[in-house]
Amino acid sequence: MKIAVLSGKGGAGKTFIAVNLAQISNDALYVDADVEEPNGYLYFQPTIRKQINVSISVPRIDEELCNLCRRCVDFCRFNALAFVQKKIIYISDFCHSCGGCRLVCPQNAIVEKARVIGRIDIGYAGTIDFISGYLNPESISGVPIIQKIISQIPKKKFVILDCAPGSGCTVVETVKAADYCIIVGEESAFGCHDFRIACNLANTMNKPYGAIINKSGKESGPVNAYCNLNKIKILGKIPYNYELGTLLSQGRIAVKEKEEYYKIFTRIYKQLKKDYS
Amino acid sequence: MKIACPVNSNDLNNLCLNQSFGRAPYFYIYDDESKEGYITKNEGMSSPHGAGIKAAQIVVDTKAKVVIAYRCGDAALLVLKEAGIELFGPISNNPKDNIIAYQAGTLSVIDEIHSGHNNRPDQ
Repeated sequence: MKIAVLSGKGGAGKTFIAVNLAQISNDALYVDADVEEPNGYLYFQPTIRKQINVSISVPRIDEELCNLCRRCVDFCRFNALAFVQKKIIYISDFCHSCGGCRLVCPQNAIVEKARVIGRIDIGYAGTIDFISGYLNPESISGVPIIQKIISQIPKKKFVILDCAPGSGCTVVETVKAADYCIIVGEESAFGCHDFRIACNLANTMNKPYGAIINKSGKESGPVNAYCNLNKIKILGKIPYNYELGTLLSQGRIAVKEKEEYYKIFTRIYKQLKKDYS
Repeated sequence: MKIACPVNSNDLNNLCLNQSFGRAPYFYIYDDESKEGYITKNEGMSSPHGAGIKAAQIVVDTKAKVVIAYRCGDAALLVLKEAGIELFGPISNNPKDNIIAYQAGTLSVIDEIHSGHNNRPDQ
C-alpha cells in the first residue's frame, strides 16, 4: 500500500507526519518526493547503499544535416526551439524532453543526448527503508526524478510518499502512484485555503483520502469545519505546542521521544491498516 | 529597416504599447523606408509555455532589427540577441512617439532584464 502525504501549503507538516508514520510502522519504506528540497534525511540520518543518477534526453542538432526547414521549431509546443540567423537555437529550460523534434525532422538531423538533472539515494535507517530524490538546482522539472523513484519501489510494501508542497506536476506524479492520500491541514486560514486545493487534487485524480489536522488548537478551526462540511474523514489531530516544535527543530522523531505522540501516530496507523488492507 | 512594438490592440489609429513583450496580444511593425506600419498577431500570447520565445520568433520572422518595449524576459532576449535585434526602452506609451524618438537617437538600450515570468503573475 502506497500512501501519499500532501498538504498544498508548505510547512503544514507533511514531512513530520510522513516520518513519524513510517517510524511507527517499523518496516515501511519512507520516500522523500519533495525533490527540490528534500529534508526527510535530516530525521532518519539514513545509510545510503546506492545512488542512481537521473537524466533526461535533450535534442542536439547536427548543423551539417539540418536543412533549416524549421519543422522542429513549429512543432515544439513548449517553444524550446527558435529559428534565427539561419540556425536553430535550443533553450533547454523550456524543453520537456518529449522527443517530438527528433520525430518530425525529415533530415534525421536531431539526435538525443542525456543530461543529468539529479539523483536518487536508496538506503535504510534501522528497519525503515529510505529513498530520497534530489533535483539539481539549475534543472527545472523534478517529474523525471519522481518517475525514477516510483520505478524503484518494491511491491507489497507499506510506502509513505512525502510529497512536495503545492499541487504542481511533481505532486501530481507522486499522487498518481499512490493508493491513498493523507492530506495534512494546518489549522489556519492560509492552511485551510491550500488544504482545499489538495482535496480538489485528490478528488480530480479519484484517490481516496483522509485528513490529519496539524497545529490543532482547543477550538475547532477552519480545516476542521471544512472536513465536517464535506464529510472528509479526520484520521487524527496533532496539537500545536512548543515541545513538538522543539523536537522537530532538533531533527528528532517525535514518536521515539514521547509517549503522547507515539499514541497519536499508533492510532492513525492502526486506522489506516484497518481501512485499507 | 523595421521596428517592432508590442501593442494592446490591432487598431492602427489607436496604438498603445503593451506592458509585456511575450504576452502582448499584437505587434506593431513599422518600416522606416516605406514609412508604413502594420499589425501582426502574437501567437505566443496564448502559449502555455515559452510565450516570450514564440513572440521573439514572430518578431525575428518580420525581419525587424529594433524592438521598443517596456520589458522583456531573458529567454526572449536571448532569441532577439541571437537575431541581432536591439531592445530599447520607451519614453511614452505611444509607439509612434517612440519611433520618432528612436530615429532621433534619444531612446536608451534596455540592459536590465527580468528573469521571465514563466506564466507566473507579477511579483
